[in-house]
Amino acid sequence: MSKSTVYGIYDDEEVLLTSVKEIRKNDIDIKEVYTPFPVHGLDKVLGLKDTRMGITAFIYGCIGVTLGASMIYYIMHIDWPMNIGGKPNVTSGSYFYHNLPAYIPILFECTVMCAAHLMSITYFIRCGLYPGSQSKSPDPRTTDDKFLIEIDVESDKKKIIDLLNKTGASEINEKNNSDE
Amino acid sequence: MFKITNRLKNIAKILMIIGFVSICFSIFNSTQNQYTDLEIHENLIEIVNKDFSSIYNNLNVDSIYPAKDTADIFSKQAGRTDLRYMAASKLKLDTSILNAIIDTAESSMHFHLKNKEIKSISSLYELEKKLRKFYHTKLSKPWTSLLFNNYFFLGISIFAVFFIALQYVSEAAWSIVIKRIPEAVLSFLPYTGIMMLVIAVAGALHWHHIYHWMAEGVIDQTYSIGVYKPYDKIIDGKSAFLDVTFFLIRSLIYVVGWIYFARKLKSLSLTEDLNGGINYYNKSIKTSAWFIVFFAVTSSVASWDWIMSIDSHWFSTIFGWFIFAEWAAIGFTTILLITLYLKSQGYLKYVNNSHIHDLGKWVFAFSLVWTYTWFCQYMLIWYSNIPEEVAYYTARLEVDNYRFLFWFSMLISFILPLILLMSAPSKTNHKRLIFVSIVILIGHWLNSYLLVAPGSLNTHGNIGWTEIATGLGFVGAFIYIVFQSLSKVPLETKNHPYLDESKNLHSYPHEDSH
Repeated sequence: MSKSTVYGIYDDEEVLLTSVKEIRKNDIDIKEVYTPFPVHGLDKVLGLKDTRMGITAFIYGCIGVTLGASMIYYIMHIDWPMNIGGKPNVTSGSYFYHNLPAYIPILFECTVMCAAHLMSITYFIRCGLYPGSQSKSPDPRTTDDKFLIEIDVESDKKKIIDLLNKTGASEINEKNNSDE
Repeated sequence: MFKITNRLKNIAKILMIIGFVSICFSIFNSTQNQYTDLEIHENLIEIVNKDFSSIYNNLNVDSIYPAKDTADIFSKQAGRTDLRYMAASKLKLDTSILNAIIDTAESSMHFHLKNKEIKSISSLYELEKKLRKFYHTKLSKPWTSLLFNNYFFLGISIFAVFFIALQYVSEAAWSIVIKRIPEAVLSFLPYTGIMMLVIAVAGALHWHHIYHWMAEGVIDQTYSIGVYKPYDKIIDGKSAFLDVTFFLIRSLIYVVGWIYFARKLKSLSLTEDLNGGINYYNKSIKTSAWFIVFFAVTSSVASWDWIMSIDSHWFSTIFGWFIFAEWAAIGFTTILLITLYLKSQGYLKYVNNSHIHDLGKWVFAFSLVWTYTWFCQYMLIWYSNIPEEVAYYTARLEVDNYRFLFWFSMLISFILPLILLMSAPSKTNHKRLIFVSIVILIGHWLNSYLLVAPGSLNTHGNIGWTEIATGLGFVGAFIYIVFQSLSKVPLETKNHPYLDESKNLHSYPHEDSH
């Protein structure tokens, strides 16, 4: 645990972006940045790793399409075959692919549903957003119009504060961790 | 400042010459030994009366056509006809006599029927029907290839106008550094627009039979040639809209309106470069908004007029969107291709990976939108299985000439971009983008052929030399005119309020490679 944490508060996202760049150039680790809205390019200047959400989306989509296909197959071909408007007739032994055009909307919806819901759930779990969880933001103004850079101080506190001042922070706060 | 290279110019010129020569040659060819419906009828009467009058033996004219009716029909004939021939028209004839008649007719009228077709003929009426189809197809073939190629390039050039308008009304900034490209593409619009009008007027003058509803007698109950009555109840029901004069006026309105907006948007952008100020930008937004309203209606109605009315009996409520999605897909693809070409030649230094990535996203997205509308139309018609709707797909799927092209064009303009452009890095990989773009353009080109040919040529259409050469001619003209127009103005825009934002675009999530 570091001795203390410094919070640099900014008024503008452009200033925030340049200051993040400047701080990282000076080999100082930024613990977290809190913003009221997603800032374009922030992940790039922070040097965050690419999100793996795309991979999970693909996997969840595959789960969805499999689920949909097996559901349709069970309902329409095994459990209760029906003759609907004389379409390739399931009751007289037509195969799954004969009816594929009619099944595509269902498969599509199942894919979207599984991908969207499971991705949301994954996102919540990764961010620790379960019901009743407390906000981790050190300053409630970051939900309104302020941008905040959180830095854990290891040794050279003065250098960090100078840097934050130089890059245009409108306000700098400190929290001493050893008190707690 | 971009300068068109001599090599590209020469290639374009050669392609234009190939296209022009082949289309002129095939139109000339199609008018040789050409007979109208009435001439076919009269020639057959002559042949039958001269050498095959034996079929009239034992023919009781009165028993087939009661005297009053025959006199009635007889009095309304436009040309020469023969009561005995009319009576014998629907008589089932011996194969030997029929073959002899066909042979005699073939030597004087220079037609060629396939063996399969000859076998299916059993009466003079059916022979006449086959000959009418043969001569109509022969006459329409070069015009069909002209129409679908022109429609394809009209789509690309009108979509460039829509693209610019879309950027203005959404106040988008990313596209400003490539704004000159759609502005150059739209300079092809007057040529394709006027060609479309030429095709429409040619249809009205019966120079081709692509639009069946324009044919003589389809809405006239009293019109007949022999026992053949071209009257069509369904087309008569649509005659308020499918009226030749109204059709030509509508076509003129679309083309003139589109060209007006295209020129206005372009000139606003160019004067903004010279004078600066926010005034031109605000004016452009207003013009774009009006254009989008105008285009929303006209793009839909134009697609009904020029494409959907070819299959006169058929209609589809999603057709306008389907055509729009196709125009969007090929429009974005063309803009992307030109951007990549200019980039490879060392121009457009402000275009970075983020711009290419954005264009790639549009190409990817609209390939999927196109597939979506394609499938909506297909699935609903397949599912409801109503004869008058399904006829559209049976004309494409039950005919050997088209079946392969139908699935092939759909698959390569859907599956290929879906797989190859799915990941973000692939949307900035220039080689892959060029490959996919060219394949998409070919897929949509084949698809536009299938929108037109089965309706105008029935089962006789196929992608042959005429179609490809006409396509190459259009490609040549497109390259020549668009790149000439690119050379006339500086590639870099000035004074646009969002120019700096566009230059500093960094939306691409991965590291820039340059």
